Amino acid sequence: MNDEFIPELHDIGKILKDKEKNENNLIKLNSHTFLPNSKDKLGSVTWWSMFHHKVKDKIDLSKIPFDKWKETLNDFLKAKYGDGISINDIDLHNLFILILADHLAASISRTTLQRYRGLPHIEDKIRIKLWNHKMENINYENMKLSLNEVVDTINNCKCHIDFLNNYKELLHIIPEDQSAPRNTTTLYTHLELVGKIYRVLYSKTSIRDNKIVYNTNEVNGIGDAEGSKRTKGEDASKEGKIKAALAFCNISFPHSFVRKNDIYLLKLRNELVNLIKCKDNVCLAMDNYFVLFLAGSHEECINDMLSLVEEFKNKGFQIDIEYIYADLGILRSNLPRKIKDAYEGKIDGAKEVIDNLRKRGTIFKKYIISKTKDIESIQGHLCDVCQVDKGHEEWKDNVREYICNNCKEIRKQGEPLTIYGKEWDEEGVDVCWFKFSLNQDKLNEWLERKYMEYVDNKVLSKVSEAKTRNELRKVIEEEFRPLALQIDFNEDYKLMLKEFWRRIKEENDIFMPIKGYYELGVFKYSPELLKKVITTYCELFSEYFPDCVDDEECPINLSLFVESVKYPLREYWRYLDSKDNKSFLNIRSHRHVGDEAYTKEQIEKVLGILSDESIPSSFLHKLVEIHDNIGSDIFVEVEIYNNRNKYKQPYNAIASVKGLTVKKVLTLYKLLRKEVEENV
Amino acid sequence: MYKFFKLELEIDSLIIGERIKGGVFRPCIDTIPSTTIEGALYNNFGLDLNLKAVGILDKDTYEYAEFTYSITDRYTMVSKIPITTQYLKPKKDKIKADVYIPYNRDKEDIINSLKGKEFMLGAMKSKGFGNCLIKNVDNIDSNIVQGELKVRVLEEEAEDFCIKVLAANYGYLFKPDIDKDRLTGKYVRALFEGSIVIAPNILVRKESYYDYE
Repeated sequence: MNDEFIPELHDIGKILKDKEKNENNLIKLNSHTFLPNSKDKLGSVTWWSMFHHKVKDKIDLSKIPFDKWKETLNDFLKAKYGDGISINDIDLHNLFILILADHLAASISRTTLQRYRGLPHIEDKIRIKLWNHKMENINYENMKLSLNEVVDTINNCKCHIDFLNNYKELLHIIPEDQSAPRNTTTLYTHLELVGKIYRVLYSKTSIRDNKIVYNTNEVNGIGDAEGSKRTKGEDASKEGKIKAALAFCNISFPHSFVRKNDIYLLKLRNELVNLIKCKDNVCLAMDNYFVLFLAGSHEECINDMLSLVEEFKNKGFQIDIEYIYADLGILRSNLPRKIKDAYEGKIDGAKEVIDNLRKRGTIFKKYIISKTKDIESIQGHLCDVCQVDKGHEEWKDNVREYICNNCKEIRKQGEPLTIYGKEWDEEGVDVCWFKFSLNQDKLNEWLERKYMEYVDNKVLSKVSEAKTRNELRKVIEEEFRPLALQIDFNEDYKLMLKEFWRRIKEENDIFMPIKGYYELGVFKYSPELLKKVITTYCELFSEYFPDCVDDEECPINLSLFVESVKYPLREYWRYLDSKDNKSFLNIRSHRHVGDEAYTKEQIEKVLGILSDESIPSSFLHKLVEIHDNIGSDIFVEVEIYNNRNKYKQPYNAIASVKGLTVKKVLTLYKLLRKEVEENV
Repeated sequence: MYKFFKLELEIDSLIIGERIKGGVFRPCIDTIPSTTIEGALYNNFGLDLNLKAVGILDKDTYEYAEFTYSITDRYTMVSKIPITTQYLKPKKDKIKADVYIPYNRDKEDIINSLKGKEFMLGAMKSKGFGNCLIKNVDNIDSNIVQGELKVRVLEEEAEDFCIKVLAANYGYLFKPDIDKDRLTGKYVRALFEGSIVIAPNILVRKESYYDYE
């Protein structure tokens, strides 16, 4: 028997073809769990993962004390297969941790709705991608596996990575749960989370005298481990014996880029993130953000967290961490928000909720900072780049600088873009730096709004009684947890960036200065290339996120900064990386006197005006002249109004598109002028 | 509750800068660190050295701009490479800022007498930057709350402002050597914006509800 227990296979029944799920072929345990009908096919201990759900009308391990599991399961197996098949202590330990991991992966990451009375059960069978409805048309039934393939996978799979890689496409299409509104998250994300949580919890537990041991506590059952899942009402104060932690980490740095080589700091960050992202503790990893799951005592969790971010700290990065430690019953990704809402009196029974949360868990903020900040004072000069360490005098091109050893090491990695420092610098041209960003706070807010929209339309509209509908809505909104959706959205964002660079590759003049860091790009400014970047972004956004908001609430944004090649890199970065006042697309150019934020609708409308051959460049020139000479939007608007019969598009755009101003139209016109003139 | 003197400032233009980067560019910050305002009050009014103060700029009243100049060597009459410095300019009429000084009855008369006076703050005063008018002086009471700090204050002065640190976001501020000439000094660890603190709410930008570690 294959003794490798692969927790990622516990839901493999969800990718088994529906037509093969009949009692002639298998022993059905629940809707998606089963055993083979012959004991010869039981070739792996992973089969015992099928007991993670209640066996129809028979066994519900979540409700049975752990010391009764062996007897219960072995009796069941004997009844089905006769003698010769039994479950041992190691198998029971695997299964116990799997059930906890399965519950936790669901409860930390998405709404769990089973317990709300009055909620209609709607079996949808399609995975709803809240930001891309096009995914709804994919029929995945034919892509599913036959029974033989499933049995073969369970019996022979040696490594979870092989399984996830082999069926990546299918697992990304199939929802974790087929009923609305839980069909919004992918099976892939669920399995990945279950696997990671399982391995982290397993490493911190042992089995002794028919009991699971965790932090020296003996645990005798799932309920004993988790505690109550409620934060108010009956039994809400029941504390679980297994506590674990979630840590939401933002990576930042105090450095200001003085020379081009300094941007290798971004490469370093990218490399460090790549090093930790395959670890089981890491649920989600982006270049500037990651989410950790930690287990053990509070001290162990803190120590594990510190060791995971140690390298970041040593290299001068700062990690800003929101940390939650609580029993498994209430450990959820929405806990910080819930506590905030409770303190602000936004939820019913706030005091009781706060008391229970405080009793059963703790939440705090922590800054992990560069070790140099342990020094109380510094004599002499601070490092020009990081400003948190002592700088040593350096001379370059007759300019004196003070640089610390860490920053000097980064500079030594070489020049990221030689053409920038040589050809372009000598020519004294304008360049355009651009950066994509994904704002995780905006994303979570938008996901919640969109999810509630979906709940209203798909589920609550079926509830006839207004009072029940309102109560259900309130509970669902309170219980919304964004993590799984956040992971899925981030995956699509990464795919969009890769596709952007694949398409843009045809343009040899647009560069990715840090290889592997897809968010940042630069090119020698030309209206053609600028337009290419903007239109490619708009096209890709429509392909990957057609249902996502595309205005100032948009979690994704592209910022472009056109300025002289000699303009300080630090200022380019400061603008590109800033979160303030950003919309779908943001452009700054001092030389063209513009600093504008555009929604997608606005940008498409303006591009439409500029490519409209019926509008002569002389008219647009005239508008620019009026604007520059008089400095008044109203005069330009009057000019557009007076010519509304001749040139309808500018008049209609400004009159009908929300927030579109004359200045926005003219800023983009100035930047794309050359191409506009050529077209006309 | 914690009591402060509140000085309301009106500023024409302001440079509170970091050091020059790469020999050509000096960035400007948009907060008034405790060391900067304490130094300015001392230099302009000779106020007691133990006076602690910190300033907050009103975000809606300023924007960033750049000023390029070239230092001339008066002996050789040769200009050096031009330096571009950022500065804050008013969005409309004046930049507005509030300065908070922990209340001390003994200093009430001196502080109240500052109303209507002008002083210079920040860098490049010789080029006309940093002219401030103390428009009004008041006493205010501030509730103590938990949240994110919105000022820069030396760690050693935190207690003077009734700031208790829960999670520090550290940086360094230049502190002149008051025992010597005030021209030399050293960089001293300071609490920067974003530190999680329990402090008077006027110094806090976003309230939070974290436990103590």
